[in-house]
Amino acid sequence: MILYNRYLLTLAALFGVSTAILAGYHQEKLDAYFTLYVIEYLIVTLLFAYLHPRARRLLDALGYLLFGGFLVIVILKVVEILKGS
Amino acid sequence: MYHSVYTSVYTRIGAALLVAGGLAAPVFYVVAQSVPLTALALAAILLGTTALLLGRSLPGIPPQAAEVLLQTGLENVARLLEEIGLDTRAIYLPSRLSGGRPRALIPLDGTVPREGPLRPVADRLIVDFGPRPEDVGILVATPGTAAAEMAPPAQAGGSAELEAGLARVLVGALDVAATVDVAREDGMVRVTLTGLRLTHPDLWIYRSLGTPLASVAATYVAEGLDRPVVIQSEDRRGDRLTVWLDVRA
Repeated sequence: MILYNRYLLTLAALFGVSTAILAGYHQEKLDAYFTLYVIEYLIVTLLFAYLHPRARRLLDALGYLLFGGFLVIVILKVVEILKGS
Repeated sequence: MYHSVYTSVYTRIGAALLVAGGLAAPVFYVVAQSVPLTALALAAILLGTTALLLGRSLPGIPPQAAEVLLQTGLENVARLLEEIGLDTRAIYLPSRLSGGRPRALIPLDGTVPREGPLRPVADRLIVDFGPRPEDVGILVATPGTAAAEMAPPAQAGGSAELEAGLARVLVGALDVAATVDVAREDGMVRVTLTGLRLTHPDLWIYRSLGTPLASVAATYVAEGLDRPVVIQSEDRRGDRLTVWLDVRA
């Protein structure tokens, strides 16, 4: 399944590059890395539009889960800001 | 065992990444106190989960077995056509004209009617498709009949929609081509496939139905445009196939 290999390699390359860039900027917040991974995952999954329908369903489910995690981070940040003010 | 081998490849990679990431993340965070390394471990967990999910979605039939089944099915029809001496180009009918499923009509009189719309035909082997007595043909299922059901037909029937739908079938579901390009030019549709991974012997039936990939393209275009389609020509060079489809009234 060449398409699956390409999909996994694209994700791995993006995760590696983004980690290197953020580490290069001395980013010390884990949620920043996680948020970037989620965005990259959602974009790559969207761009690989021709994946097998079964694969797409499963990957979309994982996407919802990750997006949920992203929302939790956003909510925690908002609470933090509100508490600070 | 295609399914188990490939599943185990993805599953093994996925499980390895998941376990390695899961073990490394707390070590990197608590012991090494390195956020970038912890993030890398998180990325490994995410990649591992993705690989596991991909492993669960592989087709359950080996490509070699699918090829054998395809050849067996086509050879039976080929023997029938060869016996009759028929090598007329088939007309690919959309499901609206062929009793609910897209099929190919092979006229028995040896000519492909060019003028006028075709009459909807019943879902039988020998059908009457026009007003003239000689308008009789054989209605057969093609590789495209089943393949076209794997992706909903392009409703608008534009090149982009056809291309996306065909790519979903040939690249995503069947994994027999790397790229698909569709262009409409003067009543013709040109379909270009690259990175082909399907070989086939030279069968008599291909003079009528076209090669399996051309057949899938013709069926899909007929269904998408909701009009009969005839394979005008095919040109295969290496792993690149260009198919010209004539769209009929």
